[in-house]
Amino acid sequence: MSICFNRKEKRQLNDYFLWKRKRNTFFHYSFLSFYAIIVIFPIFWVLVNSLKDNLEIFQNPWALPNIYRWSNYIKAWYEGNIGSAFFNSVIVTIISVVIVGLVASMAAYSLSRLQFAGKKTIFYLFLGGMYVAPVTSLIPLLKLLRNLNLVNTHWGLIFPYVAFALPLSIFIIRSYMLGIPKTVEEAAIVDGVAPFQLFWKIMFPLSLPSVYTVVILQIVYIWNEFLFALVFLRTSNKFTLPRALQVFQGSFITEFGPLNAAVLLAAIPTIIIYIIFSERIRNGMAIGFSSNE
Amino acid sequence: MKKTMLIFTLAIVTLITLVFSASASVNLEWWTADAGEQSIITWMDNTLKQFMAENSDIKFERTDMQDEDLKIGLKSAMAAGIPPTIWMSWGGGILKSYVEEGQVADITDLIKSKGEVIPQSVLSSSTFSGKHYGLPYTSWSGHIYINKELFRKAGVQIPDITKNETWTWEELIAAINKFKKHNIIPFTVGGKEKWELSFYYMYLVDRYGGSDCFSNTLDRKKGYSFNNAPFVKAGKRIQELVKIGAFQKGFLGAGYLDAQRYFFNGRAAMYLMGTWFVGDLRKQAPNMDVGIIRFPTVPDGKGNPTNLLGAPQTVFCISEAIGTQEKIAAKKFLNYLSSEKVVKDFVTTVGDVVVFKMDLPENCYDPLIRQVIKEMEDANYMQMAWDQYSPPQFASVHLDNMAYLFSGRKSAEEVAKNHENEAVKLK
Amino acid sequence: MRKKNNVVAYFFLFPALIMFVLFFIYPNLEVIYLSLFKWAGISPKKTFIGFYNFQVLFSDLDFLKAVFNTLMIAFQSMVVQVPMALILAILLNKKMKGNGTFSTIVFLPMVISLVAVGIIWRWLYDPEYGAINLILGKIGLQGLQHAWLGDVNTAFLSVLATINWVYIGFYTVIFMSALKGISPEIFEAAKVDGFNEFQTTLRIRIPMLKETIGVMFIMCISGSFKSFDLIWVMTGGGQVNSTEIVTTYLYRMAFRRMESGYASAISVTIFLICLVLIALQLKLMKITAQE
Repeated sequence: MSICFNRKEKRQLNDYFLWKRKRNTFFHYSFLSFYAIIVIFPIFWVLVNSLKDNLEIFQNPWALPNIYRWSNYIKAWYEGNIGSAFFNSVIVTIISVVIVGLVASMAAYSLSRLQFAGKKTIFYLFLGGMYVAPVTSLIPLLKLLRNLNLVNTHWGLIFPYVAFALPLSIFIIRSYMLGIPKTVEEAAIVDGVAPFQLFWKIMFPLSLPSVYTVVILQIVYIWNEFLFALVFLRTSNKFTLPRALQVFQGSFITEFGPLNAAVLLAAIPTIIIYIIFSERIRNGMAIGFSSNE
Repeated sequence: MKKTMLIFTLAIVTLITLVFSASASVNLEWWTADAGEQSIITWMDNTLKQFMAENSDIKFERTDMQDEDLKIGLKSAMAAGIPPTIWMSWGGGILKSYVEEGQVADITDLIKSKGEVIPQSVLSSSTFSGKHYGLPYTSWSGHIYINKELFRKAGVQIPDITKNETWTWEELIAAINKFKKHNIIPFTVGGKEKWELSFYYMYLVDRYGGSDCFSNTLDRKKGYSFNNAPFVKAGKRIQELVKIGAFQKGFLGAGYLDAQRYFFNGRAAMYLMGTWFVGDLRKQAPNMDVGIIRFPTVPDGKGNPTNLLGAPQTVFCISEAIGTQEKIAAKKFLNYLSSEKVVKDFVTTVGDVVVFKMDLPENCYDPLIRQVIKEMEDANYMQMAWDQYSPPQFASVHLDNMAYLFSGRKSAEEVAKNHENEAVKLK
Repeated sequence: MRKKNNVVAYFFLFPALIMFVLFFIYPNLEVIYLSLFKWAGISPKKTFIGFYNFQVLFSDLDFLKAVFNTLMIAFQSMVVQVPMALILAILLNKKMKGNGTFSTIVFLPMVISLVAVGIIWRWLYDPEYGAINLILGKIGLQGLQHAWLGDVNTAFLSVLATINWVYIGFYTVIFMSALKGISPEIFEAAKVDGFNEFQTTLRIRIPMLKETIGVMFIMCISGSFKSFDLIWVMTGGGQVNSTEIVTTYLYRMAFRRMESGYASAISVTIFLICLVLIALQLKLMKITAQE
């Protein structure tokens, strides 16, 4: 079947499509720009105010600074004793996230692929854990840590972080693994691959997108976690960044420039990590495998 | 052979114990709520350094937190049986509940040994059943701080506190209207912090019912009830203030700092606040012409206009659940803190009002603080803030109801009734 | 081919289980135990009162309000964040210039700490200095200027807007990669059938993304029941309870009122409510899966 157009009709049709595409492009960019402005503006504004002094902030909080006071950052860094806290945060976050990624995918593998006694119970146990807020068990946890001699240690922070991260992480990875077609492993099983190999060589690499999701979520969460850090850590040499920031935010309770600088300083590592890996995160993060086989 | 081995082992164990106990120092943990208070931190650092130089066997680990964080940290640590040795308390109801739970060391001997230096009046907030559980250090009182320039601009007469002048309620309302006409915010208040709202209510209840009205009502003395006139009338006055726009726009959502900002940058004429705010004031608005006035009187009020809202601000406490050695060392430290030399250091470095009766250096205080101290000395009665004085449950009901009252969601009568219902539960 | 293999299964589960049981189940079991006591949470001293805490709880209007608000946040996240994220993801997945930058920007709010986000948005909402009122004033909409967080009627909505600002980007990124998994031929087929963008989304994208959306919904609910920092910083749960959520309420009971036994009862109740929600959700998801 073919429809014949004469030249004029063709031009009109072309014009119509061109107009339609232009209209779509216009809609596309204006919508995205509008949203981008909403996102960027508050962050940009923190940046602007982190370079001002109080007087400027009060007189016109929305104007650009007259002098760019980069010294606010130096002040925030030194007076906040951010250096060692920064290092502690890196250690705690990395160790926790690595453990979560590994341990959760192992458990998810078991829960999605293997048959065993008590499977349902264990799955629901983890599922229920997704809804329990950390603030509820603060005191029992501290008592436990005391009995294990883990108060004021980084492990005393890492273990609870991992435990509280597990439910959601297992849920995300498991639901992804469920979507991976079984034919993949069945072929491997026929080839006589052992279960551990099966996990390590096949299932784990295949479910990496969901592991990335979990890792990113937990990096963001643990990097910024405050309540556990407040109650479980007792000496300043062990403090993580949010804890140290809270201490020194007091000192700038009325100095908004350095306060804003501190807010940005704390966010910069996660922003940098994100920008470096953003391509990979965008292409790789996934929850709920949607296959189109 | 076996015997020699045993003796040998025992000897080594003894030796090790001896060596360690000889070099072992007492480790104390000190928790404060002074995170970021630069001048206090300087004073604490210096004091600790000197103290440890004199007592080489005592080691300190100090942690400065923000108010809210200290409350969480302290409570959790106590419940888990690992409390700090010394901490900073606000006295009153919360300290009392800690005392009732057996968490606070009795330091009556230390307080008694100080004699006249610590006036009886400041001990009430940390004394329960006749025993002293804390060393009061600084105190505060609540005043209306005024921006004199804005008063002049709006043509409002400033009542002279040195001549015992106090506004009547009508004068206050008239002043508020004048400020509003000149586009000046009459009062700035941080309603997100409900205790700031409570200041107004407590003062009004005091002006209506007089000195003992609140404590008698809370203690369920015969004939006293929160449903009585002083409480209901106070609530009505509050809602009157809200209605005529005495507070800045959106004051219910404003935090402590948001509210303060309106005063610092000269938008608000009056700010009902505690003494501690003067330090920030001098830093943030060094050139502002600021004075204090008393809270206005009300028609047919029983309260003495010199009555003040105020109490000890900082109280140092020692934990009960620690070793004897630690306790002795901690007491030694508190004794050192209240020595004349250290107190003088405090006054010159920090400048907050101390509770001690000592010969302090002339002019160690800011002129505004000197005026506050004069007012405190002249006060007929000091009313401790309700949320500090009363048990935590009542305190929290009170604060929640302040938000209801100021937002107009509940009437003055309902708010009074809610207080009464909670007070009934206390007995 | 499926046969039970307990040893292997538990080998993989073991590390997760041991940490979960020790640092999660065990403390929470203690919470359940403590919910039966009148306990200040200051010392081991406590009095057994059976289910009295629960009795009080069910007539506690403030608590019910907090549960309602929490559910509202969950519901709102599902019907605003997820669809908005889908729209953004569809746009960002088009081969258009600048989309890389846009998608980097969209995710940014996620990486800032919630406490910081709270502080920033408090400034934006400030009635006097806040950008929102300032902009409204500049474009001649003075009538809409408002004390956003200071007004009982708008405080909750303002908080919701901030929550959306944070999380839409996260879901967008997830959708973007999920959408890439759908093979292009399906879209070609849709085009031949004369589907427009809207129809394609409704009839093809959403059904294909069913799993992803289901997981997102669960995350919305669990996130609402766990969130604390943001609301605590922005309103303290205040505005006469209009922004109170279960965690802020629980916090106030435990640390302000010193009623830790009661607070434990709250956690247990929240957990039970969530169990019902999960059961519902699983049922719904299964039904859609069987279609």
